[in-house]
Amino acid sequence: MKTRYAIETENLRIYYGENEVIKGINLKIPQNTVFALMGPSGCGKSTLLRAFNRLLELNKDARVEGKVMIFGKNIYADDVNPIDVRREVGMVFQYPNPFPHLTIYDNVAMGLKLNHLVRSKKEMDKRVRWALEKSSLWNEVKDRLEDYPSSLSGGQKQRLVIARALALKPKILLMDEPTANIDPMGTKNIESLLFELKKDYTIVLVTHEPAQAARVSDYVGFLYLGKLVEVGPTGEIFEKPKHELTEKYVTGVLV
Amino acid sequence: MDRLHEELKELKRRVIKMGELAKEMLWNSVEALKKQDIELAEKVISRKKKLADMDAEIEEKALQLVALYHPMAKDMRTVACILKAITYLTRIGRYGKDIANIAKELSNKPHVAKLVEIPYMADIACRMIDDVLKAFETEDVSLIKDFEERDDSLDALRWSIFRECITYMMENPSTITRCAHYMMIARYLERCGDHACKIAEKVHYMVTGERIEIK
Repeated sequence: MKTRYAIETENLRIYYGENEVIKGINLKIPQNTVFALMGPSGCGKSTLLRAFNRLLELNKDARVEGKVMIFGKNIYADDVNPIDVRREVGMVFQYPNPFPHLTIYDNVAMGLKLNHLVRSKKEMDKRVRWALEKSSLWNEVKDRLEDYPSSLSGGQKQRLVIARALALKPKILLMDEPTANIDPMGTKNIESLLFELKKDYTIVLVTHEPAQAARVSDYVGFLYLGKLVEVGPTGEIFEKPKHELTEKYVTGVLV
Repeated sequence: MDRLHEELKELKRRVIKMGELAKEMLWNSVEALKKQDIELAEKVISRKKKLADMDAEIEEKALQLVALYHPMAKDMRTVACILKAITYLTRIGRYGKDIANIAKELSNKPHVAKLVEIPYMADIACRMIDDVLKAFETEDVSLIKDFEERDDSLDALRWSIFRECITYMMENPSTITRCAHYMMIARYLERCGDHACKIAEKVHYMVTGERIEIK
């Protein structure tokens, strides 16, 4: 089925044990956009994000009801392998987490090796370079690919992790507060990178910082206590939100 | 209340003070004209610098708020409203100064006729300024809902003064200078009503997020 949406959810509910944390969400994320999920701590943003690539089921307490469609296909259908889903829908976490014992090169190459996606060293070199170029890191590391990630700054580490995700050629990138632990310059680099990446990918960004959502996203979804309060084009959400709760959140008076 | 909202509240208070100064300049200029009171006219003219200073200070503070706090939604609309409103208020105050200059010029000869419509226009314009400042302060947009009618009244009065002046000038050419000034003053007061309407549009946007046009 053809769709112009990268991700669609239908009455998505997520439980941790008896506790319902995502309460019936219907959401459509258009392709090749940056979609920001915004909301206060504990509102369910990261949980929702983890439902988009079935990472959630690594938590035994978690239970998902409803549908999540990636390019029109329900990823929770019985015949779907979660490993395939995660290859198509990459993830970048809050703390830059490159493998510390692997070189910069191997960090990017690891996923490709494990999945047997490339056949020759030449092909591997090409793909590693492509991924590092895509994540705007190539020029900074091309002469020290055999160094360990400990020699990189926080922002560079995060771009290395993005390169690692991109190497698998996903269609969607999920990012969970990717700049929360990065200095302003590193944040700026990653935000510029998002602009570049959305030409080829759909990006879902979780942030608790409204200013970041305003700077980088095309659409914003405001999540509060497990419910999607409002979704809309970024300009509208920050200029004249329709819902009082959104207004309170973006003006910083939501307690 | 957090720091941004404290500062916005203080900034709004300053805008209201500036608005009161602009209105006072306009009102006193017409009083000076009516009573041929040179001293009062001079006083209005001397307020020009204070008005310009307030305009510059508020603008600087508003831009500082944007730089420091990145206001969003209603906070952002409030800053946008303030930045536009102070320009309109400056123009209103400066029309007061212009009328005060005319009042000085016309103080040595009696008026062509008893001034009725000009003070009446000033009364309508000043009430509009009062109400729009009140709406800005209280966020009660019902105070500006009849601005279109009030603006129409100002337009009608302006044309009425124009026709009356034409009659005087045709009857007696020695009244031409004074009548030309009256027509200018009527035009200034009508413009002040327009500026009050523009502020009202911005206040409506600030409160509701919806843009309206008061014709």
